[in-house]
Amino acid sequence: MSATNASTEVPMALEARDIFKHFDGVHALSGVKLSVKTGEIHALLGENGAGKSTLVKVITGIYTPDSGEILRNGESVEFANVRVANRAGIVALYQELSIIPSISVAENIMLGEQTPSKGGIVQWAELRKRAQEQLDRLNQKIPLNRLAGELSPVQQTMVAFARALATDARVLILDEPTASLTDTEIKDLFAVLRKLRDQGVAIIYVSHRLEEVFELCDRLTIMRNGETIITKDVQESNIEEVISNMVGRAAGQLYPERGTATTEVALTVEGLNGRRVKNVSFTAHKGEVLGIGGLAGSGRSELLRILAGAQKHSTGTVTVGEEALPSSPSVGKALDAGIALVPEERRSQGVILSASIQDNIALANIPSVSSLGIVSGVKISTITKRGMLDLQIKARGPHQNVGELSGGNQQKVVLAKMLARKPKVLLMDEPTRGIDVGTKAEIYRLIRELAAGGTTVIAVSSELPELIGMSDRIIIMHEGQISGEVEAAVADDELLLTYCYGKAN
Amino acid sequence: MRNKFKLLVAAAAVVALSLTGCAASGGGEADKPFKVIAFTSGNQTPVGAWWVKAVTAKAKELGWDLTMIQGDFDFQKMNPAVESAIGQGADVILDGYTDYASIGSIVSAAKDAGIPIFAMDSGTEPTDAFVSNVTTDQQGIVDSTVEALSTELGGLKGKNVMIIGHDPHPGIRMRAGLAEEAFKAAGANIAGGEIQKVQSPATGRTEALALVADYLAANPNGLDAVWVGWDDAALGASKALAEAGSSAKVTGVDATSEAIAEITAGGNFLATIEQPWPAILDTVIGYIVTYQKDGTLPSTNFETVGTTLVNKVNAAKITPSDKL
Amino acid sequence: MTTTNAPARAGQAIGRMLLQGGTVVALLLLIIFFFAMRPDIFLTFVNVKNILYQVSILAIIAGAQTVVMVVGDFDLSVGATSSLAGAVAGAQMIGGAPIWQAISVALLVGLIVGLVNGVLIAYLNLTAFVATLATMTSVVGFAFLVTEGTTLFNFPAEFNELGQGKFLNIPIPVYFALVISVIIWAVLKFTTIGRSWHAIGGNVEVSRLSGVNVRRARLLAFTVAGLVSAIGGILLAARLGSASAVQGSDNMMFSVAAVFLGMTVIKSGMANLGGTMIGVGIIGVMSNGLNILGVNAYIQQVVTGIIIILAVTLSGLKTRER
Repeated sequence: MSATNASTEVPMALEARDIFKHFDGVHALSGVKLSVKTGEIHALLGENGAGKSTLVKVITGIYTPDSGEILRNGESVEFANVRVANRAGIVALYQELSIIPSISVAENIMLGEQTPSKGGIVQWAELRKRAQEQLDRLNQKIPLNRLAGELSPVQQTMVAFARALATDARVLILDEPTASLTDTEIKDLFAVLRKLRDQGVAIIYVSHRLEEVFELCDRLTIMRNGETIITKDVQESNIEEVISNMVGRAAGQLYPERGTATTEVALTVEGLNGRRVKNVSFTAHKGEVLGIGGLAGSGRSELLRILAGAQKHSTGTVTVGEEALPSSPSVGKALDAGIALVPEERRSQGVILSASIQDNIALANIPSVSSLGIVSGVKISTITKRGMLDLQIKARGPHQNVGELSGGNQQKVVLAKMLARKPKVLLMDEPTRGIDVGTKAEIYRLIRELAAGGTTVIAVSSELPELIGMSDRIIIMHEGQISGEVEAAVADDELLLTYCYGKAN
Repeated sequence: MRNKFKLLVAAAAVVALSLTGCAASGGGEADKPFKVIAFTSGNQTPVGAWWVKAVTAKAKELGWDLTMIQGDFDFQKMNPAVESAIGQGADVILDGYTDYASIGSIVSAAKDAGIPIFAMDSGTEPTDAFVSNVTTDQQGIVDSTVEALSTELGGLKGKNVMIIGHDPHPGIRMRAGLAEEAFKAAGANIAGGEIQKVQSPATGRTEALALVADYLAANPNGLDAVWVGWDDAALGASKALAEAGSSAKVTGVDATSEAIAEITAGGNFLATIEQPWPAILDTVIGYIVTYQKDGTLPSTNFETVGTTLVNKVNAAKITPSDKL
Repeated sequence: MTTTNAPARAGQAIGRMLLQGGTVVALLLLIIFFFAMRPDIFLTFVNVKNILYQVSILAIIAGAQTVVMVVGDFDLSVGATSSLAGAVAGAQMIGGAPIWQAISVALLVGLIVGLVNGVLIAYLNLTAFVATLATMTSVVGFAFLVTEGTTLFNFPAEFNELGQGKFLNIPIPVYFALVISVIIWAVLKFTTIGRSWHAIGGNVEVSRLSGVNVRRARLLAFTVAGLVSAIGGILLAARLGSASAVQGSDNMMFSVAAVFLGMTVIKSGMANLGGTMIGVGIIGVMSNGLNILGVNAYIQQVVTGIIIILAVTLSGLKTRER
């Protein structure tokens, strides 16, 4: 019977009071407060490292708090592990850990304790029936017997939702659920989330995409440095306020001033054809930031991979400055010619998580740190230190494992690794995916600095505001072809979307 | 810090060990007990296990300072162990059942240290590696088994004989080759046209079983005899014959108790060969004792000893090789 | 657009089916090939019976391996555990123990080895490779201790009957293999623990976060593998009428190979019992067929390896094309 919510008789679906949690003497959470109403979508925002995921783990029973109290419907609860939390109706879905690819949709939905059984024998008919019920609640038509791994990303997310519903989740925690979804899929997802909210489910929505938060959520709570800064109705807030609360200072400008690109041609692409890419020609100038947009599957990532020598093209030429790339390129040859790629899948393609910052940087620079096949520790240490300093990588030191760094700092390691090769053309695929706002601004600033130093940066992004904000010039692709080109200074979302859907200018 | 400390401890340990090592060999010189290094790779076989026990007992009886190294068929483990023993000094080395081809590094270490190697059943041909190698007469083994089969089958002309061997074992390889010659000379047909090979001694019995079963499936009544290089595989062959209802006869080598039991029972297993290991060991020990007394080496570095055919008649009187 | 794509799609679909069925097709091709070479022999009752008899014990041990590999681990100690169980049963009987007791103790030994593997891997977080490699080494040592390095024999006829007897002219181990395979298949398919194994093998983290008791499930998988391996080992001892410390040691590699071949059979690429049996079939048919053709043993070994590589490569193409 708390008096804090005098306005409503209904207790909060979930409340966290004065949660403290520390690891190795470092406070991850200090006095965190969170209250989520029944039937609301509550955004949980904060930079990486602000303590969001620690809080989620405390709520779901993975971590035990040092002190503080969790209340479910007004009653104090303690969760010894995930299973106990699940039984209390609290379920978290993680972006990378949503489904088991090798088993059927029905089994994915009715996983673990939800599997109906008699005497250890699975009741398959009952299992299918109940799985179907959950899919029906979500208006999803997904064949129950399909392997979950064969589904599209959005269907996989839906299957994970269905599983959460099957456990009768009353508090649903979503971590970056839209990361791998297209715009239309996000629309479908939001419809489902609103429906769940209307059914009385409390949803905690963790995301870096602020536009989504303002479109979807009812209230928001912002965390910074392990503390909750503010809880507010979304309608009473705005993006600028959110950003300034997240970074702890006035938001300033997310994107730096544009530079003045030279007219000197750094990269010429002529008549390029690949699997998806069709007859693509363009030039990029020294010191220019060229943004490439387009829907997923439009060939934009393939174009980058071809330029980086990671994928073959059937016809066409790529010229760096005066020097034409060989017709059978490789990553090594592209690097030698001065083209470097920062890939989209940072964790699987960009860095070795289990290796140190130093080793990651050394790996891409073996020729420059070794002579006669012997690697020089001094040289490695020099380039690592310079990279860490230039990019302001926050780490204990060059020997810390990259897996322990935040997403933003991991991305900086990838950058440092590539920049140590002093590329003439730097290709970046989704340069700020999964990175918090503060680090995003740093990355944009870095891109701009590189350009000012004479590097040509070609960046693919699926976020239109980012594309406009960071680029000098934007090329949009549609079904493998360039469907439009525009100066960033005069571009807007609407125009770019028109190009994205292939509608002629 | 901690690593440095570890290093220091390790270094201290090494120094201490080498000091005690020196002290031990120094003391040996003074007291002059006769130092013998004995090694075998075959200690996991029954005969090898017997040999380890027998040599240890003899050494005790003769007052030798014995270093016994058991190799578990693992030369990578055994050879360095023997070599480091050589490094500590010895008067003689005794090799049991380990082919000289596998111990090249031991042989050269012994040569450098001027230590003679006495051996038993350690190769089928004379070699400078040993001052003496006493082994069994492979030709004799083949002669008596082939003759036993010939007598049982009423001559070998036109008879179908399968030969099962195992190449990595030099003794089995040699006698299988000799058997092939002998059967061909007697006019028998070699089943499958060549010696059938078992790949691993560990699975010799199942491999031989499958070989014979499959051959009989392909050639019903296609076998009159199966000559096998060692008893364990021979037992697999005789089982396959019995299961297929064939009356073909099998011979093996080794005189294991299981083979002797089969022979006594009077099934397909006709005969095996007893190799006189205790007598051979006595001979070799005798050579070492002579050398210990006045430094005399045996007149020849390779000699062979006759074997005994074990059949139904004498089976009861034979001590099985795994019960030595 | 769609019209030009349609035939290409159909062609792809057929190609994919062939690839997916690669391993099954390989088995059928092998059978057809050997049948064509020796039509008078290969598919006769006697020879088919021979093949079944020869693979029956491998089938049991491969079944054990399948359970562990469904969970996403593997067990290098299955062969050693089977040898130890055979040796323990043999030593008991030679010591005068009744057959039921000898078999029970041997099964218990297998269970304990499996339990130890399970505790090491599920609770002490050793990798399956390290843990089972270590237990394999110790278990072989125990087997040498139990047999004193010799080959144990002279078991009671009733015991040998388990491995050598026939029912309806088909050797009893074949029935054992069949029954155990069906049981393992049913456990994997119909029980909650079986489905938990599948879930864990698909993704440990998701399973754990979904409330599957991952540790207990992995422990159970290794325990089952130990127990089933022991059954295989006891039958091998009965089949040969003897027990040595190393007999059946080739079953470990062959069991892993059979499961790998089997993984290529189904879409999800997971270990599965039906596939494993096809793998066992390929290994058995290869060995028997090549023996019948009188192919040199060394060549047989080379060819067996190549067939495994071919089958797994074919299905690798399947997963790569997407």
